[in-house]
Amino acid sequence: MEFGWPEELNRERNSLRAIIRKYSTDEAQSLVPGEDPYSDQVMGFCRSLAKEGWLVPHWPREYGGRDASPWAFAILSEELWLAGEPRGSQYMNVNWVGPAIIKAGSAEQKSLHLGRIASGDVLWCQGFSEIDAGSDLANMSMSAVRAGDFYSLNGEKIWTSYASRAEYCFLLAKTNKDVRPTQGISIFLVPMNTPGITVEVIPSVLDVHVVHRITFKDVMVPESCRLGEENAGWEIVRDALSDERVGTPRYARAERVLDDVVEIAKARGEFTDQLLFQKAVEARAACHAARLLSYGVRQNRATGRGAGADAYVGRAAIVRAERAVSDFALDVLGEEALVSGSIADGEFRTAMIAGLGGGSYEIQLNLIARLWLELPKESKDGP
Amino acid sequence: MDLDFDEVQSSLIARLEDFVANRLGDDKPDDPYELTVIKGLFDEGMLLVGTDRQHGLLEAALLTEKIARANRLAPVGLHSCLVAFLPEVSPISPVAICLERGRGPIRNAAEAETLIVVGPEFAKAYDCAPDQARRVAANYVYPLGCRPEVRGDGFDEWSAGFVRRRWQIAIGAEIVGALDGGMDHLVGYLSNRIQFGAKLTDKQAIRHRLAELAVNAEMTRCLVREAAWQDTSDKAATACCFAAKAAHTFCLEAHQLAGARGFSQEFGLYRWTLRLEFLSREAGGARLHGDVAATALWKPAKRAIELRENLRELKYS
Repeated sequence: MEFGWPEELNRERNSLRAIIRKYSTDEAQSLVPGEDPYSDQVMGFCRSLAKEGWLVPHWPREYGGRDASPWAFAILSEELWLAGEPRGSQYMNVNWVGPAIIKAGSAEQKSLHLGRIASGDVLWCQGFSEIDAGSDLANMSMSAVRAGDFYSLNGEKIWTSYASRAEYCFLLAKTNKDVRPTQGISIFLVPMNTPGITVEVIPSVLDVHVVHRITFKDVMVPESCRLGEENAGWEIVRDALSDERVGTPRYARAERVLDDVVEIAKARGEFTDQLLFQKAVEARAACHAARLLSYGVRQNRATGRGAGADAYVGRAAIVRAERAVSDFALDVLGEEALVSGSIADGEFRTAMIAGLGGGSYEIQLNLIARLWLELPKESKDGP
Repeated sequence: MDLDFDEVQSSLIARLEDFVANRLGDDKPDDPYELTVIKGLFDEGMLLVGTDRQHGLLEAALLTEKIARANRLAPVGLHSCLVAFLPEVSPISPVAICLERGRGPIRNAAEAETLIVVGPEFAKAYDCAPDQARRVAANYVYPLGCRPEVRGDGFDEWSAGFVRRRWQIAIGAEIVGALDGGMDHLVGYLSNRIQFGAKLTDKQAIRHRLAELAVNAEMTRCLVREAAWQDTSDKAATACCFAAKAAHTFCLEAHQLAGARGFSQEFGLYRWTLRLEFLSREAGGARLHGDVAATALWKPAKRAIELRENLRELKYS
């Protein structure tokens, strides 16, 4: 066990920082991640990042990566989240859409999708949640019914980010409703211009993040759009999303917001109180603990031990960190935080999202209880 | 960055587990200082791991965790993380440590032969006679006493920053071990306690609170281990600030979850909870650790620091 970075990785981090400075504007870097998911600036940044070998460094060479270490991936995620996520929605392609296709895709799917993802040329969205299937995702009712060499898709996905501009949807649908919920799910890589798909914006209170409703009405997709075996989608997506539990390094951005708010308080002569110091330090500690726990998860994945219960602990710590910083920012800035676009307002809304995006906080606690503390499953018959 | 134990660390942990199983047993020593634990670790060549070529301060912290996890009160962290690095102080004689301006009772004050006093700039070691300090009536598991009378002007002096950060790392590591022990005790009890016809751990409300405590423990563990590896003031104070808060939270939550049974001595939960509560307040507690960390991290305006110092003078004068 040792906590230092080797010189080589420090060089990699510095090199990435220089690339970010070169291709991303100060204005873009001041945005809250997710605020600008697909502008020309974002598309240009992703293409430039790809040319510099930093869009998918951890992917295998044959798919456009450079076989970089998982630590390079960690550095990539941290630095870009810190810089306002200038990849926009494409972080998703890199983190788990592409890896899922690498793992379960056909030769045709790999050829069609991986090159475009690796060159920063394509936008995706994820069709997971439904009105009655949020945390209980397997309870979805979206159906995919076979019709010869095609599937007919019917249903509705909601709270979907990036859908209005996405070229493809990574879609979960039920292909067998007569088995246990998790055993009848398949994944489809659906072109969003397929007839029968409509997208509408759902007005939300998040300001910094737009969500959508996608309706599928008799949408016909060929069998070649199915990722992996029929009814084997749950395993694939569970594996892909286990990366995502700690894939978004919210702690990095939260730490920067914390430092910025401290500077504001100092400049105003208000950073003088021991209780405020303690709160700031606790928030800093929460951010750093989340960082270290995330590293542990990444190391377990990289050494073939898979993501176990530590992924849920890491994710819970990330949520804690975001909330601790938000609380501190609100304490310092008070009513000023009511103004849209202010630093504390942005952090507050980010903290609101943190406990839900990528799996709700309560689900993480359930999983920690069962898998980390090894408590037996809850009895449904109990009073 | 490598968060797995290496061979040397794994070997140390195996030796420690063997020591705990075969040398400590279940008997609690009569000596309130538990000097036999300190001497046993010394005899086995483990007390000074922090100073040898193969190991470092991280290993001293791991040692502290393990002994605390074994429900032993011996101040192993103080010896392995601090005293081991002070050539003028015997590594196997009883030691107490306090803040120069501290007003609370001091752990092992009545047993100590050496008192280390941490001032704003320097820390000094003094000889003191055992059994001279008045014991303080307190129910926090450790033997506590008033500041002992010291002999002479002190026989050695170090920078306060060094001594304070090692003390913080020792406290943090002890909190990690005690959180582990406390969690095992609590989860074991709640998993078998039947109320309203079901185990308490069948209730999601209980499971979530246990999970929250587990997250606290893991966050504390990685911060303290990193602080030991880095051995810097900002890391040590930050980790100890977080650890102190986690310890206090555990004390309150564990007693709430265990119900009235938790208050009985025979149940034994108090050995973890009240110990953690003491640790959460030692060395000035979260507020002082936070003060030190904030100063190291953000360098608050000098005027503010001076103001705080003045307030302290008023408070302690």
